[in-house]
Amino acid sequence: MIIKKEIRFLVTLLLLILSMGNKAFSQNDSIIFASRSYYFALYLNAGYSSDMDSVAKRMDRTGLALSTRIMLSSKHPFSLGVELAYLNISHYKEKNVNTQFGITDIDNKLNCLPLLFIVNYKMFNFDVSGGYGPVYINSQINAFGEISQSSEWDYALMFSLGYNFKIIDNLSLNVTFKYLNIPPLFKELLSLQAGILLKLFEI
Amino acid sequence: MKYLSYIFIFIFILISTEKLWSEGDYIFYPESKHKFDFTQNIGIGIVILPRSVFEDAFSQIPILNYNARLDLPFNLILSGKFSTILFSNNLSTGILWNYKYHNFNLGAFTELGLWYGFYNSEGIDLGSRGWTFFPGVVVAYNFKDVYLTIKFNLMYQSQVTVAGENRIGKTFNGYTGYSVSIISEQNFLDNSVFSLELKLNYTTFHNITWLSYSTFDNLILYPELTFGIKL
Amino acid sequence: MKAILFLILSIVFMNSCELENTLNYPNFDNLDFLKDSSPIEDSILEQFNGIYNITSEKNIFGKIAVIKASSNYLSFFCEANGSYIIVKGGIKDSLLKFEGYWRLSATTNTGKFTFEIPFSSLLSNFKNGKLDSNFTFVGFASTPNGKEEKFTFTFNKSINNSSKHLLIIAHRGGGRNSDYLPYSENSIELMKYSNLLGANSIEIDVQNSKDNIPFIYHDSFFSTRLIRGEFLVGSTSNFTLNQIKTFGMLKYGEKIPTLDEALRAVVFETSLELVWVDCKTSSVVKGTVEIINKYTNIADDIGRKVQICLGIPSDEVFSQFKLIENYKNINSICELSVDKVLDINSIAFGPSWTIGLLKNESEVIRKNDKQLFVWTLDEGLFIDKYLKSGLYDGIVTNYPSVVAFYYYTKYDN
Repeated sequence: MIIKKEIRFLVTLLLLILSMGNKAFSQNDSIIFASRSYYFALYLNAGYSSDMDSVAKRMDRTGLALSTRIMLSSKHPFSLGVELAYLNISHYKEKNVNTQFGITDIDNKLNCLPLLFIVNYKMFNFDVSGGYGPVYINSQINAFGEISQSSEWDYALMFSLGYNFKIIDNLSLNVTFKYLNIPPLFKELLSLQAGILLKLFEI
Repeated sequence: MKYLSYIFIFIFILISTEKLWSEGDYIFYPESKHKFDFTQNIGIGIVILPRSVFEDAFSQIPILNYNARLDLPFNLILSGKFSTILFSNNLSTGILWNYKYHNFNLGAFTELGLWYGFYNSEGIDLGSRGWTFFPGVVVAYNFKDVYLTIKFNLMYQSQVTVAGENRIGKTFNGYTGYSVSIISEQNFLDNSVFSLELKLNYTTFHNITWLSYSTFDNLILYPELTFGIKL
Repeated sequence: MKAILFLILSIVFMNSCELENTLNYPNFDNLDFLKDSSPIEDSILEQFNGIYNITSEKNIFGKIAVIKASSNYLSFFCEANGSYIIVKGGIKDSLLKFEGYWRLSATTNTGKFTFEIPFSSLLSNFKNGKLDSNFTFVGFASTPNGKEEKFTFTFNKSINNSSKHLLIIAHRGGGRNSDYLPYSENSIELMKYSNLLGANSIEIDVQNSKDNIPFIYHDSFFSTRLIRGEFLVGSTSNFTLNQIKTFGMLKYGEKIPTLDEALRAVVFETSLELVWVDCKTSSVVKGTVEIINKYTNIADDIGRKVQICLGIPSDEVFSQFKLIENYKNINSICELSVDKVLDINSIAFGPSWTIGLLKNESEVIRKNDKQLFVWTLDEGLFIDKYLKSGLYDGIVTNYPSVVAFYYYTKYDN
């Protein structure tokens, strides 16, 4: 996998901001499991995702993105959780395509469902997250009068930056910008999603 | 080597400190403790396997590590290490001399070891063995709640392989590459101390993965990530 | 908590470790050095065949090289570092000109190689059907530090026409993708190139498509290691052949060949002596046998001497093979055991080197008029040992140039 230089730069910048922010707002107790009140935070988001690869320009690389994330949070800036998402990678649809096997209609789809372990850092109203975990890749080729479906498991890395607008105590609106990298497929996806953040089950 | 720039960025991030902890709880940090202090650490990690060698058969393997340290007089530290993935086992011992300057510690070390691998299954009866010699230098910094150690060492190794009664193998003695490690040791839950080591091995031969029988003469990257707990 | 961040960063950058390497190979159809030159006749090129001493300040190639001609090309198989040189020839103004490249097999070190000699020099040193030891030429190799190094090749002796013929079987049609050859593994282009690398036979892998058409591919699933194909993920048997060929290509851009296409190319466009068709799955056995039979008959009809053999790597493939009518009359190579070789009347036993030198088994093999192959030998010491044993009729290798060097120089069998 090659991480493009500009992505490495952005990630580095993000981490530096994170470290400086932590320095400015340092807590006395770094262990999140010390005695404090905890709650579950549920994120429900929807939006668009786009594959950054511009090689095959004939393909529609923008599609639906859905995600749900549940985090174990406290007043501490760090929280842990899991995220399940659905992201469209690419869609190629064209009629009467001339191929070496004759003319055919094509309707091919590629999407993914990442299930990621998430570490989140709260800074003011911003959520800065990193994630790692398995991703289920699903492909469908519809060509030459035959529909073929196939899938595989890979792994993915994710970074995201979100902002929360508080509406009432337990409800916020959330806007998140996400970057997902699937190294075995050399795929990088950007996604912009909006949704709600619910504070649940305070302990 | 290109990842060293990112390792230095990690250091800036680690400057943001939060919790004080008892000083002296480390095993890899190259500063002498009290004479004849004995410290042990056990760790579990993964070795990421390069695709050019393993193709898509395996992408990573787990590895178990045991480390021990005995602090000696005259700024010397005696170390011992045992690593295993079952098919391959590595035992080494080393001596490190260190020098303290404010919160910095510098050192030079050498590690000498033996490795042994075997595979008996489905008609295959293979064994392989050799020695290892890793001289290197270390620089470290005490952030008060995090001990950060960076090691660089050259790798000299040998390998002899035996199939049944026949010695058939790549027999070589010499320079195979180098490795760079960055290790952070810090407090975790309830005052236990844990270590996190990222080791980047750039080598033509990685003895833990000898079964791959790689014939590439290029330096290939074998990263290892290990979590350890002080015993 | 900094450790968790460090952990995430470690994972990110550990997983970004593999870089894609590519090497720049010369375009043999457009070489500056050979501009305006005419092809050299095979009968003239073959006069170069022989074993040469190398003298040079730099020891890149060692002290000995074997030179073999093949259809307007010369291949040099050299002593040191698994090195080889492949050059294309042309004649212009009575000068024989050659341009190509040198390569160290196990590394990515490569560079340009050129030489030229007056045609008269070759003729005057060629007497009684062979070159004499006065024949010398000087070649120039571009080295990694940008310099041009001079290498002098002096003819020593002819290549031994040994009574024991060795099959140098190039793995995956010529080598792996990780060997950074000019063409993808298991591509027709690489199969046609393999003789320049030193091979006289090849091993190729066959998988089954959804519509039961055998095609040449190593793994049972698609991955970026072997192909480019946006929608080709998961198992190879989930897609029809038309879909595979339309939406995918091999790593360096070649078409994914069917077994039929591959064997057609081998029979009509190469002089390879043996093709080991390794069945990766039992479901492909029936289709593979049909195509093997087809091209075996075609080869017989046109007088082309080539053995096309079905490879049996597993018990499942073995069982499936035994269900084929007249399986004992179909050429096969069995990896499993000597008993199974005899059971299905395979032409050869072809196990992995990891079970060692098979002195006892080889006696049974000889008694039953079978051959003994081994895979996959890449290391010089291994190759030397296995060749010296005199037990083996064929060696599967990713580095055919290394096997070729040892075979042509060291063994008066």
